Amino acid sequence: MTTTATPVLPVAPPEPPARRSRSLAGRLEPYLLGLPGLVFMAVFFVVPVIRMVHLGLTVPGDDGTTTFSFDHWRSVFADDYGRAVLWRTLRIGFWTTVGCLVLAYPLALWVRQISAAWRSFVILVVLSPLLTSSVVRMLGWVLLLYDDGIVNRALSRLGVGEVHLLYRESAIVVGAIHVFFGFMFLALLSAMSRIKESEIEAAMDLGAGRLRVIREVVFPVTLPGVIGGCVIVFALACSEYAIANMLGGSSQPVMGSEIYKQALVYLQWDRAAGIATVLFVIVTAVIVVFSGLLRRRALRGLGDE
Amino acid sequence: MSERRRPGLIPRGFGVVWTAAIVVFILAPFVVMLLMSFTGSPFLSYPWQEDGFSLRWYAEFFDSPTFLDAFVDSLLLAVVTSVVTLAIASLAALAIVRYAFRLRSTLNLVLVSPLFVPHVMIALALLVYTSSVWDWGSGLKRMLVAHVVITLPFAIATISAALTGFDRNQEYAAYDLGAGRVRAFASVTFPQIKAGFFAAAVMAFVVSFDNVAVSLFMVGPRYSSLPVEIYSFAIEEISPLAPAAAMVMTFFSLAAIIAIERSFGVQRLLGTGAHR
Repeated sequence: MTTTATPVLPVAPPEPPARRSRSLAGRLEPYLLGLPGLVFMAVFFVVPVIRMVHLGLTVPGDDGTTTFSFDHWRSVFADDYGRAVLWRTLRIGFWTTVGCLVLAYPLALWVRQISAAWRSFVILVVLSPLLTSSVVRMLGWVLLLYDDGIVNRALSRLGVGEVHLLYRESAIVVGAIHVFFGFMFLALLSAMSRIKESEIEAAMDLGAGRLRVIREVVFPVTLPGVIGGCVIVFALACSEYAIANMLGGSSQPVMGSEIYKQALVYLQWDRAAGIATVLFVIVTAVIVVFSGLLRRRALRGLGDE
Repeated sequence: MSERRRPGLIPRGFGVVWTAAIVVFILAPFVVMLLMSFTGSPFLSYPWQEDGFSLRWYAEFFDSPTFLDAFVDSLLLAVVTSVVTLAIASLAALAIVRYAFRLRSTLNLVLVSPLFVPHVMIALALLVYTSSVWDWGSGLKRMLVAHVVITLPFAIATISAALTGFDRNQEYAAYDLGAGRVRAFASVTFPQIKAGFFAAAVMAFVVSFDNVAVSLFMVGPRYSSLPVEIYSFAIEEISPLAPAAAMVMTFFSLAAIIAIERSFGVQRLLGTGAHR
C-alpha cells in the first residue's frame, strides 16, 4: 500500500506477537475476546450502513412494494436547488480546509521554535476546544457575530455601515474553521516531527531564504501530515449540518441539513438515505483524487534529484 | 556545530503575532459566552451594562425541567456509553495487541471504521435500522448504541496504545513466579496501564456528552441530550439562558480534560512535541 497520511489516531493495528498458540483454547481466546466488539459493530454499524445504502436505492412502488431506482441519487444533481446545495457543501468544505491549513501551518512551524513551556501552553489552548461541544462553540460565534454583537458594534464605531455577519456562508466557514482547527493542527504537529533540522541548516548554508526553505525543504516533508489534516477537515466540514444551521440559518442549507430535513421533517427515509450515500461517495472521491494528485506531485519532486 | 545562532524558520515577531491572533480567535467565542452568561438583564448583554452581574441565568438553567432533564440524561448516557465502550474495547484491544489470528486486521478495521463515515450517515443508518429492524422508539437504547459506535474507535486506539507500550516481561516474570494469567494481568499489568483505560473512558465520555450531529437524529420525546436542547433553544430564541447552559456544559467537558491531563498527559497521548 502506498504511504498514507500520518493519521491522527493509530488506524493500523500494532505489531502482533510472533508465535501462534497451539492449543484449541489458546487459538479460541482472541476470538472470544474480540467477539463482543465484532458482533456489536457488525450488528449496529456494518449492517445498518449497508441497509441504508440499499434503502437509498429504492423507491416506493404503487402497490406498497419498493423498486430499485437511482431517483434519490439523481435528485442531488437534478434541479438547481439540489446542485446549489451540493456546491455550497463542497465550497464550505473547501474553504474550511484551506482556512484551517493556512492558519495552522505557520503556527505548527512556530511552535517548534519556542520553549517547551510555551509550546505546551499554546498546544493546550488550541486543542482544548476540541473537547467542548460544537453547539457551545457555535453559540459563541452567534453571540459574537449577531447584529447587536460585539463585532458589529466595533465595526460601526469604525465607521463601517450596516453589516450582517450572520446567516451567510462566510459565517459558516468561520465557525467550521473554529470547530475543526484542532484536527488540522494535530495532524500538522505530528507531521512536523519528520522535519530534519540538518536539512534546513544545509539549505540555509547554501543561501536559501526562509520562504524558499519552507517551500522546498520543509513543506514536502510534512506533506503526508498536510494531506491527512486536509482529508480529515474536508470530510468533517462537508458532513456538518448543525454548524450550517446555527450560523447560516435556513437560507444556507447544506447536504447534511437536507438529509436531516428529509429524514426527520418529511419522513422520507429513502430520499435521505440516497442523499447521504451520494454525499459520502462524493466526499470520498474528492479526497481520493486530491490526495492522489498531491502524492504524485510530491513523489515526482523527489525523483528529480 | 554552528557558532552563530541560526534564525528560526519563522521570524519571532510574526510568530508571536500569529499565535496571539489564533489564540484570540480560538478563545473569543468562549469569553463572550462566559461574560454574557453572568448578565442580570433579561436580554443578551454584558454584566457591566444595564442590570449588572448576576447568577440568575444559571439558576434559571437548573430550574428549567427541559434543560435539567437533558443534562441528567446526557450525563447518564455518557457514563453508560463509556462503560460499554470501555468493556468492548478492552477485550478487543487485548485480542488485537496480544494475539496473532486470522480475523485480527478485520476486527481492528471494523472497530475503527466509524471514523471514516460521516456522522450524518451513521445517525441516519441507525435511526432507520433501530426503528425498522428492532422497533425501538426514541430512548436510551438507540442513543446508547449510536454513541458506542462513534466512541469505540477512540477507545480502541487509546487502549491498544497503552497495551502495546507495556513491557510484557514484567508479566512473564509474574508467570514465572507462579501467578495465573488473570492474576498477573490484574496485579502487574493493569495498575501500570490503567491511565490509558482511564483516558479512553474519559474520551468516550466527552465525545458522547458533547455530541450533536448523531444525537440530533436519535432524540425524541423519551430521551434528549443537553447539546441537542441547547441547539434547539438557540435556533428558536436567544436569551442569556443559552450561554449559561453552554457554560455548564463546557465546565463539565473541561473538567474531563483536566482529568485526562493529570492521569495520562495529553502530550504523550497525542505524541506531539515535548520530549518527556
